[in-house]
Amino acid sequence: MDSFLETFILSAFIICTLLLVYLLRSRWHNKTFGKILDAKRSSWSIQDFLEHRTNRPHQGQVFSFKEGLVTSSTYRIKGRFDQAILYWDANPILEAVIERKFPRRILPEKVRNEDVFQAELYALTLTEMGAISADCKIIVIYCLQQEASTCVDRNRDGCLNCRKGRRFVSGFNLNRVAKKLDKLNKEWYKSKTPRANSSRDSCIICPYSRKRGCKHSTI
Amino acid sequence: MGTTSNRDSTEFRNISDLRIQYQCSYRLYLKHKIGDRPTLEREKGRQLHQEVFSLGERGESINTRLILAVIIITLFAAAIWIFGGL
Repeated sequence: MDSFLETFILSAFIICTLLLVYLLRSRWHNKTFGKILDAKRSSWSIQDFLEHRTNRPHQGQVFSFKEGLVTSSTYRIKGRFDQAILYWDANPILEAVIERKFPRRILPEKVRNEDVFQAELYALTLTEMGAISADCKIIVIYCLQQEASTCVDRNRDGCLNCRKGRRFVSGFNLNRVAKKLDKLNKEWYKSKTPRANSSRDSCIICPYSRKRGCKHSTI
Repeated sequence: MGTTSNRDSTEFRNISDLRIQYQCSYRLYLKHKIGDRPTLEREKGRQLHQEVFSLGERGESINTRLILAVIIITLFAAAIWIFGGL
């Protein structure tokens, strides 16, 4: 074969291999992200899927549900999750619950506990609605508003995954979340004195703060 | 909270309120006492949620198709290089 053509084909092979590694890296780092990328947008509502009111889905087919309304009668909580990934294996299996946050200026170095707790509550509700969550992952994605806006304005692909964002993955423990919820409900229903979190990070984001300081002492 | 009357234990609590309470229960107390204070950051975040989700499906399916296309090209190039040299 002509040496130029041979070199060209070899270069194309190397470039394609490197590109493949780049595209697949998230799958190698974390199986869950691979499943999320492969998840098919579900045409059913989350309630229909969990209550088996659908044509039986293919075994193992992963579905993505977005902005689903969920309610738990046991824990008396309700909400709308960002995204939930489920697949069918004789029963609906909850693979992951994803919560996206769009901070204005700074990407957090570590995940905020309240964001994890919020996603955990969605997972708790979905479990009570019929999903099996033994291996559920809790994923929090932080994406700067500027980054997300630019992606949207340019109509680019992959805005949902926010390549320049930060992702934090943790496991879901139903008993641990139920205990946290129970503690908060005791404060709420027994009308205990509210406690202020007067840390700087907390006050900066608080809409009731005054000059970035906690003003709880002024009320 | 504080000395407010007993809350109705049959009501359903909103998960976003529970998030606030977990972070700072006083902030939730102020939200109920003074009213919600939407911030620009929060409104922008809400808007971005909707816009990003509307583009999301396209991004996810194109990523998979792109990977398949690259695999095919890689195998094709490898085959030409191997068999072309024989």
